[in-house]
Amino acid sequence: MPAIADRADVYLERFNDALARAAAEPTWLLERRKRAMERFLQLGVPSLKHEEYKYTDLSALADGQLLFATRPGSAEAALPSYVAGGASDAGPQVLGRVPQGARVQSLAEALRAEPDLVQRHLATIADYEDHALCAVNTAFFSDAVVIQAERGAVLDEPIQLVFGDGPQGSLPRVLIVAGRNSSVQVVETYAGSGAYWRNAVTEIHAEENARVDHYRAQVESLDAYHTGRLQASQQRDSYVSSFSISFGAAVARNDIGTRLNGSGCECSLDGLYAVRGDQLVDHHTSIDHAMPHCNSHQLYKGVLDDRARGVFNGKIFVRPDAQKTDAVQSNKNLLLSDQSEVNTKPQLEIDANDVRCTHGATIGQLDSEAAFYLQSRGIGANRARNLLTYAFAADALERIKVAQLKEHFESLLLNRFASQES
Amino acid sequence: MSSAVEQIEGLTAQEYKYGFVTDIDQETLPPGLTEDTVRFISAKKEEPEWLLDWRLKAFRHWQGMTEPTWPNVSYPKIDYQSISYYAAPKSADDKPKSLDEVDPELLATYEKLGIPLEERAVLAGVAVDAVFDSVSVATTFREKLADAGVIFMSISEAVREHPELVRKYLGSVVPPSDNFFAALNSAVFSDGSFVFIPKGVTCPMELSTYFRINAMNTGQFERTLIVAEDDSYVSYLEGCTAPMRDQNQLHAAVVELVALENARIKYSTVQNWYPGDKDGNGGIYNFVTKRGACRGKRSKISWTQVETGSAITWKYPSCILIGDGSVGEFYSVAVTNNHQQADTGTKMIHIGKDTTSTIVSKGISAGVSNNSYRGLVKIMPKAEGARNFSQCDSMLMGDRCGAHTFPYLEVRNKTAQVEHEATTSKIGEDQIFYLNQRGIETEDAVSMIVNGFCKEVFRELPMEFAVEAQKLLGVSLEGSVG
Repeated sequence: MPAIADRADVYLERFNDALARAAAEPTWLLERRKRAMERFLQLGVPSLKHEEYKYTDLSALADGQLLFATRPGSAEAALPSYVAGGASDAGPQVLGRVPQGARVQSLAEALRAEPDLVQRHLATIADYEDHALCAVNTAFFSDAVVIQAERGAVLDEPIQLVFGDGPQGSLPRVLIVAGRNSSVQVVETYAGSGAYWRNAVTEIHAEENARVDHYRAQVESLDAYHTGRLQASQQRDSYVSSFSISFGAAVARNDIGTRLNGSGCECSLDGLYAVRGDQLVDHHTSIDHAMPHCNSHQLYKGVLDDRARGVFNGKIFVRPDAQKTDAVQSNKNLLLSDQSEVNTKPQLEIDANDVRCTHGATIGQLDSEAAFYLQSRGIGANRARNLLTYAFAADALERIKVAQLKEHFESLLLNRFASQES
Repeated sequence: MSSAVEQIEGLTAQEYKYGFVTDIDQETLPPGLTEDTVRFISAKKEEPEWLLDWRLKAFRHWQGMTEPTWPNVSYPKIDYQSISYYAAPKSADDKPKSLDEVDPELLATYEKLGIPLEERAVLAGVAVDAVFDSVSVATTFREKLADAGVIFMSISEAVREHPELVRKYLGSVVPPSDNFFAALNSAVFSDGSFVFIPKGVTCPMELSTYFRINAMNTGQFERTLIVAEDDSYVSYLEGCTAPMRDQNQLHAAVVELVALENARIKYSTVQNWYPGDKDGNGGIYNFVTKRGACRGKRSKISWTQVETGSAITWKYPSCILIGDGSVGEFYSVAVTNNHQQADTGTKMIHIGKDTTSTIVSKGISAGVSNNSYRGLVKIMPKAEGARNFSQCDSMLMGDRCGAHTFPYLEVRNKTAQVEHEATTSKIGEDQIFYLNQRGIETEDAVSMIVNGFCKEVFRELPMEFAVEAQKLLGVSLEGSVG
């Protein structure tokens, strides 16, 4: 594919710089970076012809300009209130104190302190062999945040990471390792200003009976591209939940996946997206039921206004040995304008027989009778629409367990339409 | 479970009931596909110039296409040059005028299949346009239909007798360049049925065609075209069985339906072609393009299918809902056993205002088979008030089979209401147990449960077919359950 190779020249050029910068890294990591680069050169930035990207046009990213020539602008103004004042130049800001039993380190620190653990998990969970964007991150990321929850540690407060205009800039990388019987909550917030491409990868490793609650709040600039991959690997009896909030970015693409490697695992992948103008938000999820007696739950809700487009593709794989699997998936969309568009594809691939899998997808509009009823009770048209939109999203919002986060996005939805009464 | 497993093995070991070969001399073209093949077929059928040109155009287009690889099925690569593209019974020149003149061996074939042509025709009031391999050899009740103004004949006859109609509608729903197999079919289609229901006519009987694949190594390329003018109604039945054979056979049919204002077309299929033996050898490759266009206001096209046969089924009966208020329906039962693979579903394209579509798909997989539902519901920006309901249920029997669903929902209008739901589950052990303890054998219990599972689809079938479908389901599945 010469056309892709040509356009990837800038990537190749930059890769030599990146390698020079990373010269101090251990060999295994450099090998992984080189392999990722090799795969990226073969795969290229996915085009619309790629089945997984058929509704999401990423051609603007192909030449690498947006990644290398621009960076996220100052996020100060764009930051949601719950993390205001959090982003700094010093790197991804950890808000507040780090709870007892947890460690939050930079890549260099973690490589010094726990080289084996990093080697075991970094760039082994998120697959760069088949995913070009993940390969880009793996090849180029300059620093990573490594979060560890000690064995048996139950962290009482969430660890909050803010990705603004700091040095990790366009290529944030996070590794979360939850030890046996631990429980950890992590909130990642992405915000910036101007036009840029942020390509984030987060890997989660949940040991036996660990619990990880992960939140990703994406409120990027409306001129930005945001692509993110969250991949978890679960040992037996572990629980991983992911909540993806997408309100920002011109084009947002989230790939969220987990692999249930032991029996008795549970996972819950949920999301809420509300977009307007010409925004596009795309969620691709993948739950790989590799072992028996696991449950998975997915609920994605979308609110689309103006000319916004929503894409959802949820995949549930049930491998031949994964008997007694119980998987539920649901994607519900609310179209608020004539030109908004939704493409949804809930997908089941089942190779075991003793399972219960269901999926559902709905697309609809606000109930005009309900709106009329509210108005007849003296509630203005806009307020009625806000209330009904909020009501639509409420069961997804309920799944956010971090109070400040929930309140922030609740109020965003409740004040979606100008509240002046007509 | 273990006794059930034994039962599975006992029953799945059953030989294909309908496997036999009728010995009739055939005029068969040697294998190979070139422009000359297309010209030969066209000349053989004494086709007019425009149709030959149409075929050649399709053929040239086909040469530039590649076989699709996206379906969730796998099979050895087909060598299109090793297939013979024309076979006709020798008696083609002097066509029988009535059943008495029909080759008795042919009639015996139908007897063996349990589809006695004359009996069925007389008793059930069904006119059968039986396609034995490529040429229609018997057409009954032509007069009665003619009285009503209905045209029901083989498509090659229609080309001769009603060229203006054929020319107007042929390829208007499935253009020759539509996809790889449709292009191939357009180039070499041998025969098929043509139905024309004039304005205001309700077809006095259910029309039916029985397909047979009979000649060794002969791909069958049917072409069916049904046109229903304003305010008309027709119900069309299609059913098929094929003789046992070792080599895979390719079947690439095209079915086109056109419904004008207020017209209703009901198209029902029972497909029971040879699925291959229990090790997955042989069996038919069924790669079919079926599409209906609801062109007029308030028109309706309804597809009902019961798919139990074929080694590989690859078909998506679709509706293009252009007319305001038009309705598309798709009811399907797809059963796969042993090594069968099915990738089937539907497309509902909503273009007109207030269009409605319903999709009910029931997939049952047993043995080591794979069953996929793949569907598209597309609401275009102008389709105000469009409504869709889809339900895709899968039932799994045996722990080595697979069930997959790939539903695509694309909505570009906010007034649309689209719902999709799907479930996958095992056949209920407690249900079987309950029936067992009421004194019902496991086998019968399974049959009851499966029939219940499929009921929503079966009740859409015409009476004549519903019986056959239930029987087929029984033959395909009995005992393959644990």
